[in-house]
Amino acid sequence: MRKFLSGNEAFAEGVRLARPQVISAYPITPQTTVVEALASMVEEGSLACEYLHVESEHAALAAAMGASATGARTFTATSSQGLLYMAECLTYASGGRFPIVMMNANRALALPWNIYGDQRDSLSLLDHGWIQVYAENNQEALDLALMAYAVAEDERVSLPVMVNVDGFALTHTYESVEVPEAQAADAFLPPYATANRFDFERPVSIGYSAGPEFNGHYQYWHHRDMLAAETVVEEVEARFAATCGRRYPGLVDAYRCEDADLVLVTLGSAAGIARDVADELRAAGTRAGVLRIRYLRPVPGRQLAEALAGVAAVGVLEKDISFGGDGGAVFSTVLVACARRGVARPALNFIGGLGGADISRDQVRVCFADLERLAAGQGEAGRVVFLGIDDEEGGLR
Amino acid sequence: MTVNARNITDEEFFYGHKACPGCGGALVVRQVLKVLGPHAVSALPAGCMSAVGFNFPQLAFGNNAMITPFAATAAVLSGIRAGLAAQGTAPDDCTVVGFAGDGGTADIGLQALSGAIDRNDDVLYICYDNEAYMNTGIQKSGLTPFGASTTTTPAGAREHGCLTQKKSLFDIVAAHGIPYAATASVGYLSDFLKKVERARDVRGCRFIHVMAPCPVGWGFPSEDMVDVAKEVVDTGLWYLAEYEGPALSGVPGGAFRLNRNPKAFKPIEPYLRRQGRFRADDEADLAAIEAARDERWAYMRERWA
Amino acid sequence: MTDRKFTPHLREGLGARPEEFARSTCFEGGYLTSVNAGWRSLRPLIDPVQCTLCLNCYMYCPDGTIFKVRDGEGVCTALAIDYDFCKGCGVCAKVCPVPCIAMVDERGDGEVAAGISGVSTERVLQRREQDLMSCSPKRGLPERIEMSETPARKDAEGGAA
Repeated sequence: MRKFLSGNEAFAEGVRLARPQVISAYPITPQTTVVEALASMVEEGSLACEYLHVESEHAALAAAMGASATGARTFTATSSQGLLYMAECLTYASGGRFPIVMMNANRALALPWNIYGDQRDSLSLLDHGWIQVYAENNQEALDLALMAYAVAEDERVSLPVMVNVDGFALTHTYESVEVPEAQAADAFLPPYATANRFDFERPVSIGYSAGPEFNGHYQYWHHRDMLAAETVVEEVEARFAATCGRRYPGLVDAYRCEDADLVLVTLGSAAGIARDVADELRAAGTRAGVLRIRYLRPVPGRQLAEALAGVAAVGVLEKDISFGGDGGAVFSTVLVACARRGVARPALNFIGGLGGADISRDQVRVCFADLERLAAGQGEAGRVVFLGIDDEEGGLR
Repeated sequence: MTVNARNITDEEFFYGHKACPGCGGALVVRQVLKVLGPHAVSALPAGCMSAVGFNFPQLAFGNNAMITPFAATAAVLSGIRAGLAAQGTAPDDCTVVGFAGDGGTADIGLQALSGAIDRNDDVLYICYDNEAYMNTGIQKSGLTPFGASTTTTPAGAREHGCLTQKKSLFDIVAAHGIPYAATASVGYLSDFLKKVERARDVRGCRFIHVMAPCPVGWGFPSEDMVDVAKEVVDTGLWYLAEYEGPALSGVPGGAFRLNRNPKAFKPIEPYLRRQGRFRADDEADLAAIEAARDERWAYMRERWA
Repeated sequence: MTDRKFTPHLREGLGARPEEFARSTCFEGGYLTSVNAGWRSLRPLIDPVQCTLCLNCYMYCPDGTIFKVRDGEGVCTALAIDYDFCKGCGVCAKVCPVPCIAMVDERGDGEVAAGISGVSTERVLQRREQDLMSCSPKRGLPERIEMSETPARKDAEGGAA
């Protein structure tokens, strides 16, 4: 059924279709409307689940873990400072291999205090052991709510998934969205079954400590199973296409990259405008492409290296900065993924959209123009450019 | 049927753990689990009992048990109960029970505890109080008593130990209108077990604050643990009480009861002097401890007796 | 002792490969791979003749290592101690009202080391040789009891002590 929904409303529709048995959530802008929508669904009886009104984000995720340990499918949602407040629990949830799905409404971090969208919240937590995926639009957000459970609960993976939805740009923006039929969703997503749960016949210990002798094995398998998620994502997307009709392209979404000289890598809702500008450049004779990263954990290393191996210059446009580091987290990820696979292309990092600032068409044009100069041998590779702030000076070296 | 030494199960559900010899907290966990039986599901935050209870592959819990983030005991309990409720598959005698220390309850875990009581989730929360952060090496918590030397309130020439009184955790919990709350001491074991049974059979949120002496942190020989746990009650420095919420008691605001209200207390000095942590306290400190005790008892007797 | 289904007991090491145990933090409960006997400097000895079966020691043991020895009818006839897991804290001796539990130096010289209960070790040892440990008559005292003889372990093998 086609509906006109905000990103949060769309996501809530996806969660309803996934039939979580326990929801625990604490409100924070701009996540609030998703938990409000879910509360209404529970109240009207269209979603049968236990809804825990917890007193903090820390408790939200902690309760989700407790519920998951009983074998229940669980959902929570947060944003920004809330995500950081529950950060301690992120490693518990992933190390405990609880396949919790969490929506994170991407929002700036304090200080200065700011409620608008950027991606510093989730990107600062890439190493907390969660699968991280970024939606580009409301349809993808809804579909990811369903697909995230299928990936998380696959026994080859058994890891929590954080579905990132750009604050306001998506969460509060209305789009026409196709909501799958419940029957199709049920066919796609069977009930959760796991051995990672309490057992009253043969009791278990869950979430114990493991000292130096054993600890490394847990981290090894956590890493290994996260890498295995790549295959599972592809299988899940194929099944989703078969049951719900929409096809998704795996860990990355490459647009006109095959023969591209200039590729702009980005993630989330900024990809749309980047593709528009690429089309514009193509029309003018410049071979431009856009590589949208969907999953940042696991890192789409092979896809990045393959897509970027033949380009003249690559740019990474992100709503993040790693203070004192090598640009933003996405830039570092792209460079390392390429270097590890023997690919070294001239690259620039474009920082934009911080604290909810628009990433404008003109800014994206600036990015491509900068890449074009770099490809022509002008300017230094590796620069970190704050769009609209130091782009005229050429950025930081 | 009231649980006693003769009819209590032969099963041990907390066994082979690495708690220090004479650990009061270990006795709490052991006995509570024996009362609750094999279908209890336990949650324990980072702290003594989780550190000694499950260090893979030495897993000392015979029932289902789970570790929680330090601040999240009550939240994990709520999640467990919600998960079981959503699936409807747990045995009828399944008690969801948390064991957290004084710091894990009265300090870092207080917010989560308050939330669980507010929601009236059907869980039992046991705070085993050894009066400091013992697992990390005897640092002051919100339940460390005045005058006790800890590694972060070291006794010296200037100060003789902790400068603050114990938080009134029981009152804080009761102020929520919780269905059932109690205080206890492992020194009065049958009283404690009776309260555990009572709590087990009440629905909604329940809380027991039980004094659990720590030989290492308090500085007394391990064999004296039960003695000390008795004496802290006999001196009036701890009290045995119950609170029943409005629904259970039928009294608006709920009803308190003092289970022991002696005419005279044992002198505090022998109790304090037998413990290393009070060694530096002088006459004035002892007088302050006694005065605080008397004030507390005046308060309780006026309202609860 | 009646059969104990849930009581944690000793195993033959870990018995699981990393790909079996390290892909979650969910493992069989009650899984013990090491004993606590080495912690002990004093060993409690119960005088079975003096013992009134008041069960104080059983109830107050923080480790649960004192257990009820039951006859064929399930009647508790004696108390015994699982020395694999007893840490020698002395609480049992201290709470014994008789008193009939001695704390003996673990090094085996038979002296009452701490004077916790004031019970004559010699007397206790004599009595024990006569009739203690009906559950495990071959146990000689005061030599160390082998790990394989612990009641917990017997449970694991399906034989009630």
